[in-house]
Formats: sequence, C-alpha cells, structure tokens
Amino acid sequence: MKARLRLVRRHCAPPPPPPPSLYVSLAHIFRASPPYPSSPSADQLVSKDDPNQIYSDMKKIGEGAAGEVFLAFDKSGNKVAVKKMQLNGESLKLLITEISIMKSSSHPNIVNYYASYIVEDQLWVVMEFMGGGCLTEVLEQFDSVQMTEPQMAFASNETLKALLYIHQLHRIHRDIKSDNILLGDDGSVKIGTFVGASTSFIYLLIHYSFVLSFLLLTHWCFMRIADFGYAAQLTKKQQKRNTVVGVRLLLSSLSISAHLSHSHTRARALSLALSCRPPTGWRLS
Amino acid sequence: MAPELIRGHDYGTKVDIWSLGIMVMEMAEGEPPYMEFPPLRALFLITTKGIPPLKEPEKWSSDFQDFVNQCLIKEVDDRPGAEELLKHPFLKRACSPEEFVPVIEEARAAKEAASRLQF
Repeated sequence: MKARLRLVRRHCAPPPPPPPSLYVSLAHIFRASPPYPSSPSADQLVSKDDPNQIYSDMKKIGEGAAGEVFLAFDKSGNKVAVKKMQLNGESLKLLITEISIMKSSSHPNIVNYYASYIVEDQLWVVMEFMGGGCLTEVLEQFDSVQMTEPQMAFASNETLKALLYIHQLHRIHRDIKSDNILLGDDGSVKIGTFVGASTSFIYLLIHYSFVLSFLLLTHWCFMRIADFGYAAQLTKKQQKRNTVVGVRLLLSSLSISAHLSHSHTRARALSLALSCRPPTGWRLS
Repeated sequence: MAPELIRGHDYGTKVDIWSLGIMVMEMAEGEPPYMEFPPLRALFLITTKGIPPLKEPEKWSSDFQDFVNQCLIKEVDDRPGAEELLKHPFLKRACSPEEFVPVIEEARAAKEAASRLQF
C-alpha cells in the first residue's frame, strides 16, 4: 500500500522548477524574509519601471565601498544622484530597511529619497543631488580650508535639527560622521540617512559590540597575565597554527581568558566571527 | 563610537549626540581624536579615558568648548539630548547658509589645485 502510494506520488509530482534566474531568487528573498515585520516589503519599495528610460546622461561622480554614485537628469531636467550597489541576500535585507526609513523621513535637513530600482544584480537608489559633496571632502582639505566657529555652529545646528526629527520618530541614526553629512550648492546641510557604504559593518558592530568590549577587557587581562608566563603555554598552541599577529593574537588571548572566566560562549562567538575558525575545544554541532 | 556602544550596554538616541561631538572635533582639528592609535586601541581608550580635550583650547571660545564637552559626556544620562542641545548658546552664533557656501567652494578649489599638482 505504502509503496503504491509512493509510486502514485512520484507520478503526480509537479514538474521540476525552472532554472533559477536572478529575479526568481530575489523574489524568493523578498518573500521569505522581510527585514522587519512592520516594514513594507521590497515589492512596495522597489519600482518596477526601467530607470534607463527615466534618467539620462549618467556621469560617475563617486565611488565607495558599497557601490558607485552617478549624477543623472530626470525627465524634467532636474539633477539627481543615483547610487548603484551590488546586491546579495544579506545586503538586500539591510538596504530595504534603510530605504523604508529614508522613504518615510521627510525633513529639510535629511536628503530626499526619490525611488529605487533593481537592475540586473544591482540596486539603484535615486536621491536628491547634493552638489557640494560630503563634509569629509571639506575636512580633507583641512590644511587650506578651516571652518570658523559660526560655520561649525551652523553645520552642528543643521545636523542637530535632523537628529531631533529622527529621534522623535524613535529612530537612531547610529552612523553620524562627516561622510554622511551632505552639502548643497546653496550651503544647505543634510544628513544622508542611507548608510549603504557601511551597513554591514555597522550591523556587525552593533551586534558584536558586547563581544567587542569583552575583547578589549581580555586584551588588557592578557597584557597583565602574560607577564607571569601563565598564558604563554596556551598561546603557543594558537601560534603553532598561525603566526599571524594582530587580531588573531587578541583572539588567542581571548580564548585563554574565556577559559579562566568561564564566559565560553561569548568568547567563542567572537573568535568564530573574527577568525572564521572555531577556537580550541569548540565543536560545531 | 559612543562608550555605551563599545561596552555593549543598552544604548539609545544619545549615541548620535556623541558622534556629533566627535564630528565637531574633527571639524575643528582636521581629524577625530585618537587617530594616532590603531582602531581597537582607540576604542579601548574611549571606554577607559574618554575623549582628550581639544589640542589648542586657547584657540576656541568657551561656548564652543562647552558644546563639544556636552556632546562627549561619558555618562549617557548626563549627556543632553538633541532638543536640549539645540538651545545651547554656541548654536546661537551659527552663520547663514550663504556664509557657509565659501567653505564648500574653497574646499573644491583646494581639491582641484591638489589634483592639478599631481599631474
């Protein structure tokens, strides 16, 4: 009976799915795991139109870790900034969250968001064009251009106004720095809420910040106990496997201290995160 | 990175105020504090020693120094929020947007001059 059922099932099995194209896999990501339950889905956020028909005369104006920034003109001839970013499953989820935040923020001191598109394996985000670039570009010329106190007060005041708005919405920017402060040709100062360039890093940093503090503490402990020769024996094991100094060395000190302080889980989580290799005595289950 | 963020404590909107303070120091001195140390060491120093005072205090008004110090208070509860900081006397001296334009233009000119020198 069972064998017959299996046979029937095999015969009734649906045809194999078509080979996965990029669009299919993206759609799968959208539906399978929206970033947060409350945020709108990617289908609502990402426009299905072809941006090449809407924006013309694209000219590259910048390049960052996450992608490239272009200057383009929309149909009515207004300047816009187009940020093109390479997509993967992890970055997409974070970027969608960022877009939903940007889209729902409207303040004179926050860069305006216009639209976003998926073009092949890239996400294009169209934003207000800020002709003056970012504050970092000013600070890089510190040897020749120094800001006066009233100018610094102006920049701080404009930033604070945007921060007050963000905070009143119970949001935290978490990445305020000169790279995210954009300047307009008219002297306007705006926050770019889009943190595409450092999303994954910040994400990691926030999530591992508690572990990071642990690392710092143990680093300090290591410096102390190393004097007594206690740690030497344990570090040798690690050094045999790799003689790289730096973070790896810190990691070895971390596993010693973890051994001493019974805080196994945290130390191991960090060790795993940073070295991509489980520390001694760790079994992956 | 604000001390509470490094320590892994609960954090809130005031981490942005801390970052603003660091950015203002960068505007004044050209680079953020602890740049001479490796990143992990810098994070360690922030949690243990806090932020060092401005390098040339005589160059800056007391309002400016107080504003920076307020932003960089280590204790979260003592650090003012955005609303409170917006009332700070230092911000009353803010210039107009038109007076800010020269900063952008001078920086652009300096950048172009530097790139011309390279060629």
